[in-house]
Amino acid sequence: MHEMLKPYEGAFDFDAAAHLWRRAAFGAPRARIEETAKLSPRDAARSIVRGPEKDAAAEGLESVYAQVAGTGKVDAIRAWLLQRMVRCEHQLREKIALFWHGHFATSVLKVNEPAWMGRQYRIFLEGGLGAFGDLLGRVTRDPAMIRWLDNETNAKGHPNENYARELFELFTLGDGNYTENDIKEAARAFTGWHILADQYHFSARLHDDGEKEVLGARGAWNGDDVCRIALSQKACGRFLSRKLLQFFVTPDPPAEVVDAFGEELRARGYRIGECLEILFASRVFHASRGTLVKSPIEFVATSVRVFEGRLDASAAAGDLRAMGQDLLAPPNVKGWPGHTSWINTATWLARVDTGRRLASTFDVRGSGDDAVLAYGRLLCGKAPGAEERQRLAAADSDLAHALLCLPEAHLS
Amino acid sequence: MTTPSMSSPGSPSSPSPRLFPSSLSRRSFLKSALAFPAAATLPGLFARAAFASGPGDEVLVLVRLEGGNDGLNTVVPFADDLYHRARPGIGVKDPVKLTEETGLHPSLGALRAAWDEGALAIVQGVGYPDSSRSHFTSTDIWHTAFTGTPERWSGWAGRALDRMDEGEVPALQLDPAPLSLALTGERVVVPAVADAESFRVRGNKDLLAALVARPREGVAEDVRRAGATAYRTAERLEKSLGSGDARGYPDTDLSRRLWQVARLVEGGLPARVYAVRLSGFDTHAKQGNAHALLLRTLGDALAAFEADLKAKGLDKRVLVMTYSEFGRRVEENRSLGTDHGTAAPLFVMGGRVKGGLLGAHPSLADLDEGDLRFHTDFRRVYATVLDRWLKADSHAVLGAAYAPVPFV
Repeated sequence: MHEMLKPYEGAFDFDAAAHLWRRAAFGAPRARIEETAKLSPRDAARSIVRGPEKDAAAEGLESVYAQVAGTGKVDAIRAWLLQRMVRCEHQLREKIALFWHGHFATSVLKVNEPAWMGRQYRIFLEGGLGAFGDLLGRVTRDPAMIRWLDNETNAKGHPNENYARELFELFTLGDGNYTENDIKEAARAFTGWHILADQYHFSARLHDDGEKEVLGARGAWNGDDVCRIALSQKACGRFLSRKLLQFFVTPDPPAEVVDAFGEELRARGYRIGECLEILFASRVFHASRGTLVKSPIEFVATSVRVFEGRLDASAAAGDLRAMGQDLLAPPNVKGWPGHTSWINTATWLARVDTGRRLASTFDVRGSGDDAVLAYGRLLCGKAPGAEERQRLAAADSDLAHALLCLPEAHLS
Repeated sequence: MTTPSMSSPGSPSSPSPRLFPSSLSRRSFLKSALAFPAAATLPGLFARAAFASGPGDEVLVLVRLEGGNDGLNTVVPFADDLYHRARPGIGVKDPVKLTEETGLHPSLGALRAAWDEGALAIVQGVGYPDSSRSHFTSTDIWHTAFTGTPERWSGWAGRALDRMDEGEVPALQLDPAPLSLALTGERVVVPAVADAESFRVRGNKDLLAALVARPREGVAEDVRRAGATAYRTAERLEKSLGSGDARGYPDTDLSRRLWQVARLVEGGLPARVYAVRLSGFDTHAKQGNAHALLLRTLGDALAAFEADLKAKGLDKRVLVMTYSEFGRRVEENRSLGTDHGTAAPLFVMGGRVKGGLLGAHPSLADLDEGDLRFHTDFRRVYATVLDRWLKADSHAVLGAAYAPVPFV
């Protein structure tokens, strides 16, 4: 195993535990961080990957899902998902689902069926920590995806290349690891993979069952074969490795770490939970504190959890849009580019405004510099500087909002 | 991102230590002074020249058509049988005729006025060698102006801005999306706003400003700079925007943003480049109505903008350029849509534009695996805009010399 993926052996203290909770979860209040800090790095990673025996909040939210989806309103589904992110105990399940939503980047703006979007997101919640191959198979048959990438009309004799292209470019291999001919051939394999009565439907009549050559392999391939061939490529391990590292660890992971984690993914059958357990206990993970910009959802959910505030989930959906992360409506099929692209002047002012609304529900414990330090350690990827601490300590009733307007509060 | 070019070490709201009025860059000050050597001593004229962005401050407005606009149904070779054969389902049947062979999609009818006045140039067959069919790779190529592995991860307009004198707001993106790579420089900081009208700081401004005053390092500095720039830009936009009359502008985001551009140019915002975006051009299926609606949105907005600029006497200072990452496949697909293609036309509009068709329509008889062959490298268009409009050295910005296209 690569040096940087080996278990972290430095001090696993309060700040290291807070880092783990900000990255693998949506932060946590002080008491929870203190508990985690008593564990070894490996036990802490295992506990956060596997989650608790029982997740009462998840069960409670699950029981109202049918009602939420029944409204036919996408904002109701958004609010339900945000409540999950703030309240569910098995936090990593929520976070990996958000990762897959960004990876498969399907938008309600084209799909036009909020319930379908909810159903797709539930694939990510249910299978997000399992084997990527299984997830890909389910997503490839998912009606929202079939509509999103126009496979509905991909038919024998007149292939529509959209799904095949994005499968290779954005879901498995990355640009440069296939040819235009691979796309044309793979598109034929997905002909006839359609929707009927809101469900996936295979139309044998419209399927091209002739021989295709995809990524050097020749056969009468269907869509599952193409997915399997893509997954077997070294490039797929590397591609997924880079995306996971960029989401959970560091914006610009070193090539050798990308390669090594990619090999780990392939060797372990792309079982995501198992691989994340290695990652969250690794040296590279614990060397990456403060290097990532929080996504708007991370900013909202982490702030609420750290201050133990209340989330007005229906208002939050609009705030997220203004901050550039319209849940269930990513900007395009590549998803949100993340990291520093989250921040520009427009999204910064939206974060300041959102912070004010969030902070109005926060009940800050303590005051002055003690409170600044205590909350800063939970919230900020980097400690606030002395100058800002002075201003913050004097901020009185503005303290929570002012903390949220520190650049450091937007780092993870 | 790199070192800030315009952050002052103190509070962002503190007055900048310039010798010149803040709305004026040093370069344009000198230009104004040289332009009126005799009058420069007259206080009235001097003040006027100093406070308005003077002549020579040409403005470029970039309109990005995101998703790969179907150029063949935008500027239509309607007299060519091959066109109708390739597009039996989605072919344009009733174009707005510009010449005996070429017409505009009927949704672009509003652009006819600019065409008749000679203010609309259509550059045909624009592309680049070995065109990428990936939205993202091709967009990066258009934005960096480098094919293959980019030599520099910055945008062509951003690098041009880097070479100009710093201004308070060197350029402005009217689009809340991540800053376009086209406007990303190596030095310059370009603000983005969703709406210039509502872009205001709410809350304890002194405290907010103090929290982003001290320069940081690394990614914290990137975030801090965005915050400081946001607070400063909000003040500047409030000063420049003024009120205005939306008469003539349709009710679309694109129109509202172009209307704000017109008001900001009039109000003396020193930005040299504005960027707006219209999305939805990735028309793989049932494109007829969707594409018609997009082109209607585009054509009506551009026409209203041009008319407004003319009424304000600004049309000779503003050049509008549209672009998209690629055109689409010549033959329609089974879904009554089109897949990713290559070459496409682009529009250049403005009071100083030499209107007309530039270059022939790419041949429909001589295709490259079903796609049009480009004949005009997009960097020739950039070079023309850089050298002849923004007065920036295109060779330095693009890293090579490109022959101009005579639209300006």
